[in-house]
Amino acid sequence: MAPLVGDAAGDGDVLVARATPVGTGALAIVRLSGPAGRVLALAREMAPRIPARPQARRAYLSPFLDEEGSVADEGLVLWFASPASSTGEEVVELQAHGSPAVVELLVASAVSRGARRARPGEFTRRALANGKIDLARAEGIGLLAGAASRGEARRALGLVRGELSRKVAALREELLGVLVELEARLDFAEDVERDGETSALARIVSARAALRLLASEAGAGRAPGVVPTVVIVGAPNAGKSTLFNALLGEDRALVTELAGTTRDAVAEMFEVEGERVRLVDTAGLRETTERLERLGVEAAGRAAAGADLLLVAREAGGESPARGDLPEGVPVLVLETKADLPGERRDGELRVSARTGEGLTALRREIGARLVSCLGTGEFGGLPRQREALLSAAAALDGLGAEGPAEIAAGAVRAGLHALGEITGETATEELLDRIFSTFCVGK
Amino acid sequence: MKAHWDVVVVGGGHAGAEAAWASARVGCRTLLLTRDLGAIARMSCNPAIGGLAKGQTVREIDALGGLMGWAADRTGIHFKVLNASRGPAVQGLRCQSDKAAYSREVGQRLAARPNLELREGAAAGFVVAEGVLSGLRLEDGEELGCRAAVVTSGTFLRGLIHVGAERQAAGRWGEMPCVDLSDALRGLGLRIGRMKTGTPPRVAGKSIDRSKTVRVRGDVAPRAFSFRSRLERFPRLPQVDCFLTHTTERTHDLIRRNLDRSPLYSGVIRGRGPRYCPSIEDKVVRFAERDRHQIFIEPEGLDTDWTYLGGLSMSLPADVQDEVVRSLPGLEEAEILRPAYAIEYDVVFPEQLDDTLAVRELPGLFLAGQINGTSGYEEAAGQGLVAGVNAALVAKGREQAPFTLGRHEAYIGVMIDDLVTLGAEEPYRLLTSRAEHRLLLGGDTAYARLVEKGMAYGLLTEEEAAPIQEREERQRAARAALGGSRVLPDRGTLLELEAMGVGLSEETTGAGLLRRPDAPASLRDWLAGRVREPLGGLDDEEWERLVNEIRYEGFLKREREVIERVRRAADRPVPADFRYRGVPGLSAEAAEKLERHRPRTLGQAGRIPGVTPAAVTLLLARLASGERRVSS
Repeated sequence: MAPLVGDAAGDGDVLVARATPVGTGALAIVRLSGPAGRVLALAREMAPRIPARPQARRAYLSPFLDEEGSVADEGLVLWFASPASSTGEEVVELQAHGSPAVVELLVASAVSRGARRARPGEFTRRALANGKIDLARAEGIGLLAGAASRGEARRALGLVRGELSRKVAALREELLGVLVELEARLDFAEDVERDGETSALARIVSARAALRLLASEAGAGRAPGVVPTVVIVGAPNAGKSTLFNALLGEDRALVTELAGTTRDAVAEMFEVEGERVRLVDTAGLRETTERLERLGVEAAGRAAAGADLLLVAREAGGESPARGDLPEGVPVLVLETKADLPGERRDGELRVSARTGEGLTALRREIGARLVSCLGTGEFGGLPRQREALLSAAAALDGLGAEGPAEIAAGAVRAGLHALGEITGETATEELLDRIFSTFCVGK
Repeated sequence: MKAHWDVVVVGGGHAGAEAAWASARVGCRTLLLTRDLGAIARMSCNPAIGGLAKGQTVREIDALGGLMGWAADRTGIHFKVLNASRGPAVQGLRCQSDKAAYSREVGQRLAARPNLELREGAAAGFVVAEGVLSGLRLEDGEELGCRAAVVTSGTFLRGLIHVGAERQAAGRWGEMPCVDLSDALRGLGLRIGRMKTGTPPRVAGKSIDRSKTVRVRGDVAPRAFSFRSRLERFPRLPQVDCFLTHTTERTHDLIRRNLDRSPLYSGVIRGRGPRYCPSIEDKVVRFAERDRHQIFIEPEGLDTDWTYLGGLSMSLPADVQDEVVRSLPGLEEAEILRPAYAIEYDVVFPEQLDDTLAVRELPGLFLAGQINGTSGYEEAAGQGLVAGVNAALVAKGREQAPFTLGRHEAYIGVMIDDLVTLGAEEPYRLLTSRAEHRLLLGGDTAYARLVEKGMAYGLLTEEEAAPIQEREERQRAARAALGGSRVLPDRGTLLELEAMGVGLSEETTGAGLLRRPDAPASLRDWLAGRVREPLGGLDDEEWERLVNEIRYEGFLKREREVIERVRRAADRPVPADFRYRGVPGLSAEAAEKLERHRPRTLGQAGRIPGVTPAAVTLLLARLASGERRVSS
């Protein structure tokens, strides 16, 4: 059992932290969260105009006192009673003026009165522990905070808004329904007709397919900060570095008319179609005895093997690299470079010219489309664990057909439900019997 | 107070009988105290022992030296394997027993047991010295010194019977309830709940026209529960048939029209009833779309005309019951000998017990059976056995580790773990779906699972266990022989197999042939002919178990791996004095539940309703950080 929410220390502390982004803005919110009673007491020391019995979610105007008791700022205060708050605990929010110095004074003031600075993610962790959000949504909040591209932000937001949770919930519902049908027939053989068992078993097969589909929507599942890698390969002098620079929009790699200019693999981050991508330029692939160039060719091979997408650059009319030179299992996009030069054209291949800009927009679009297979087609997703849980739920159902045996199928469905529970943090066992008894008339 | 007895068992039902028997077998001077020595192991409701999950439980009791399986075999008059077409794990043996014979059988065994005395009387309170149980006070004022006691009060604690608006304080029909004992349990500070159960009408068999019903025959070749029955004549009693009828539109109409006269529906009965054993009022109301419900007609014995109407429990007034019974095909002229009734009774919420069924607040006191919120003879007997052994161990000064059964070891273990960690909101019944490892808990493997443990605690003598162990040894040898016996596709073999409709393209083993789903029964004889030793001497049941083990091998292996994985995480102990309040992030609700249930392990904590996986993770983190602090 891996910890779902990490190690936490301290005993029911009142947490304090600024809740708005760092920097100077018009407003900054300082949030306090902790056990009922303690937060309000502490907040009233800092903001004396809060009444002893405030109304929840009502704004009160109050001076804010620093550590020494001097007025540091003035602003609105909101009080949220447990459990109707973002963390499920008692929460107070102080709306201060946005100066970082003022915010620090207020946080320090709270700390001097017994609060503790929240560690990153700690508010979310409490919300999770109090059942305010499920695990998938909590993880989405973490991802959203660290999102560096539009695509990452979009997928993380999907998690936060419960897109994955909802789809998982629907699949869980389906599997639970199948389990009810099977268990009722196993445990109440005299009361429930055997008819219907076969169709319940058949539903397992479609649920399995739906799980795999959802896994592909969720994408390959990447750890935060790990972005897809696109590697440009091709024969020497095929125009790889020119293409590299054109995609980046800057002259990053050296370009000469000499074959074999690029020696080491050169990597840069760039954004394509809203996704952050690591783009790698490599040495041209050819047999060589020159030591430095040979090392470069080897580095190109390693980079290609770890790529999510290979851009194979081929001069118009030139040769493509032999299939044996490309790593297996990595998607390949072949394109004709130097489209502005005369040469033989091949149908169906993307043609680009770094010089004229021809085909670059189409290439970017194509890269974006190809990356969907590793980033996922869905509007959510992001963590390897979530994808693994979906795939392991599907794997638990493997090898089951409509002929049973029912007790084996039921065991597999339980295992599948357990795997899904790892996404949202729910278990199913308690619900099963309730459903059997409300669905079937059983017992003498 | 001087301990005259090692263990006193209060109550002589199915829990009490097994508790007294087990305690005496462990070697303790044991007294069984009951109101009526003629009512030992009385089957108060249906005349059947076993069924799905229950049949497996009876086998477990048998493997632990208990009485139930043997008594059922010797008094059974109709045996049937339920789910016979399914795999071994979800089959359930059930028998109808002659009720009077069953009660007599158990009573005689107990009376003949050395170390065990039976006496009429009723407990009214507890004598406590220095926080430990030191004796029982009886209703007549006498005090009995003892080192441990097992209370198995069934439905007697402030029992209240309902037939329509008529109410009567009773433990069973016509029997006095226990009121003082209920107060005494409350006095210990235990939280007491109220549950409800019911029993259908009994009718005179001779008043039934069986030609309008469907005959239900028992199995042609009855299977026995007990290993002991292999050593004697079985079945001993003549076998009889049961019959099946059903409710009609008129039945449903009658019930709907008279619902206001049913205390279950008028709100008079507040105790929670079992959902898996609903009253006929419940079935008609909740499943209004059904036009009929089946009713089982079961004889209560060979020498009695009393007949049980399974499926017709209710709390309607007697005059309505007459009409309801007579609305069933075949029962138009039926004579009711005793009306159906509902009974409410006190229970002790079982999360106040530990997994030896000891009351946490009073060392020396154990509870078993319906008092713990269960229903069913088999559930009661299983608990009685565990409580009896543990009471004996306490009486002997705790020289041996407590007697507990794991969830992967026995249905009894599943039940007790469910009770003490989840509690019971309604009468608890064992179901195979409650056992996450049910593939390993088949009735055919009970002896392999439990006999050694039984012997270690003195529940089975070496002499008794010898034939069981011999059989297990034969099973192992047969499995090895089948796995090792090569079957080559030579001409002679191919011809012989072809005659049985079995094809063979490449070399395999005997096990390989049996694994095929289409393997014909004749294959057994063929294999036995080739590998005379040890396959020649196997009986039908042994063959069946062998084939099942071969076919389910892959699943069983996977199951065992899961158990090992889960065990490693779930077996992490939670210290008995662990402070849940103040664990960072743990909700007040979860902390309160955990304080109340006091789980022994992280696995138990996770099964408590309201304790989410996230909460378990917080506990795990806390336990881990505590360990780090201790070790550094």
